[in-house]
Amino acid sequence: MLKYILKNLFKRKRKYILSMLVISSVVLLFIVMNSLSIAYKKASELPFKNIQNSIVIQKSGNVPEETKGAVLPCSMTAIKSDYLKIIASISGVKNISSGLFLWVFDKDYFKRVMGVDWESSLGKKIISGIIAGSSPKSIHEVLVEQTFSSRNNFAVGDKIDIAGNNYSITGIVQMTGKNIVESDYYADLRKIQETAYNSIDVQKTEKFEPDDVNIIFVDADLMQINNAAESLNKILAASDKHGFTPTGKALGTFTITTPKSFESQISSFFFLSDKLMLLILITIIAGAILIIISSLNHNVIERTKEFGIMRAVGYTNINIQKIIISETFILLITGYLTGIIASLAVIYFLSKMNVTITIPWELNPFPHFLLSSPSQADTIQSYLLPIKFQLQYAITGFFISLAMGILTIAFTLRTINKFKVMEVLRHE
Amino acid sequence: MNDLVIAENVSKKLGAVQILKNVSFTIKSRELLAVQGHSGSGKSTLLGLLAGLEEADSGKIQINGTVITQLSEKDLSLFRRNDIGIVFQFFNLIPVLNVVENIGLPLYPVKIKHNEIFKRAKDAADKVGLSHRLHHYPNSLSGGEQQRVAIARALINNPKVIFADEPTGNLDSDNGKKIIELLKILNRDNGLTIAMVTHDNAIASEADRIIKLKDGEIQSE
Repeated sequence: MLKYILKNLFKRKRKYILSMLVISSVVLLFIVMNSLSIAYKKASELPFKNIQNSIVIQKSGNVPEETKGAVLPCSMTAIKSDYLKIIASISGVKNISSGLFLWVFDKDYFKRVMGVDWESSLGKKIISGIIAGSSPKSIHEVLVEQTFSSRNNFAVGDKIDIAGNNYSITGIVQMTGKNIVESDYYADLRKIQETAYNSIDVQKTEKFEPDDVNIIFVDADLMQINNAAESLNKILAASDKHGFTPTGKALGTFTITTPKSFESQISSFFFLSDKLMLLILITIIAGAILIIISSLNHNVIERTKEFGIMRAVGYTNINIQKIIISETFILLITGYLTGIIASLAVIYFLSKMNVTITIPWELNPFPHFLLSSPSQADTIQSYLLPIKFQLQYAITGFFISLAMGILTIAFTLRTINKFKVMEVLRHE
Repeated sequence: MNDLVIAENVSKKLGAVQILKNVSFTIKSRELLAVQGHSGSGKSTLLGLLAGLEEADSGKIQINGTVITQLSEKDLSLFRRNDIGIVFQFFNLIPVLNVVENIGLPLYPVKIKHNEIFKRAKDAADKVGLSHRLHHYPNSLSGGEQQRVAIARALINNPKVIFADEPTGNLDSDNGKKIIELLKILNRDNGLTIAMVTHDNAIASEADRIIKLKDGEIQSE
């Protein structure tokens, strides 16, 4: 019977190509749409990749009165240490790291300095980026960022001065490129807190306590990240100041940045809600089922005479049903495999596509008067779309194809069971 | 000679029309029988009942000791596959299969090796003089050749009896004669029992015996 089945499919391929293409298109759409949706969501997480956290909390404050000594950028004013405990207690928050980011207008040159706790997850991440030298062992030792180091010809062992304090460079770290809150130096948090506390320029703008920080990195459970961000928004909603920062933020308000903050920048159809995506896919699948049923049922009706001949020469009804089932499954598997191959090709080409994300100035503050152009204030980052062929969607796609095949078989068998042998054979 | 086919009081209605009324007759083994009658006399329906393609309303049909009117649909199919051959007026070949595949068609659902099916199909093609056309498709064959393929297909299971419904009805007179000659040879040399429906007196006259049907009843034997 296989000979007849294969010859029928091959010799009448034009009649079956539509059904096969519909199956492969459904598989292709299902896999690519879902993979793209995941890829865009992953893309929105890429700015957080180097810090390995998923939520960044900052507080907006006053602009430094003067550009001298150590100051806090207006997008990163002091956050009281009490907040750390509150944030850590929120559901979905796995871990938090805090830092103190300073602009230092020293006489020799401008520096961005980040104070970090080397034992925190952020500190460990920075240490893991060391490409020369070693991690700091004392509060008088710092790491220097590679690009900044090259520009200033720094080497491991060099002595530098930050806001009147002497430090020794113990290592060069590669952290630049696609980061939030890029810094030139990474130093011990306690030492930088002490520097800020003792800085007249900091205290003139904001009241700074010795254990204050100005940036908090939250490692949240990916499944609960939006809920955690919502809770943070509620807890940190109240502002204790009046007025606005130069970038239009209300003074004293917290900025909570999550991957979702970047989603609007990657404006895409694929950020549709899961429910809408499901609705679209169900509509496509339902339409495809109708087309396949209609097409294959029509083919069966056209071949009732052939089935009549077979019955006349001794084929049982089950033999005929086996032919139809086998043909449908061959079409289904061919269509499915074509869909998989097409998905692999489409995903390969999509993986070469770039998505750009603008890191707002607040997240990577740099004194605008030191930039050659104000448009450089925001950092535009370009990422390759992190799209991958998702095996789970290939498997689900197979079960969708299977369901389509079973429904089609049910309809076509109903048609074939109705015909009378003598009636179809009596006439030419 | 034994009675190979026995029909007893066979009746059949199609809708409100009584097609056959208590028809009884026998066909002897190795006999070449012609069933004649005008259009609508019930001759094709009778053949359909004998071949188990239609169900009788009443009566009994026995072929080679098997009462086919008592068989289930599945057993009837198997009976057709193993014990009888059927030839139609319109050849009824499968267009996507070539000659040898069309001849071997009844054997595809049987657990027989592909080589064996090919060998038996080739032997059957030899018998009908088509061994040179094995790989041709029906659309490249003449009407006479197509009917030969249909006869070879009916022979592949070594049936006891062949039922032929107007086997020459769709052929010109020359090809019609050749087909009748072929059926006669199969009947004479291979001892095959053949019952054929025809409206053509010349064709019917070639048979050992003629049954004439009129208005669903046997008029003469």
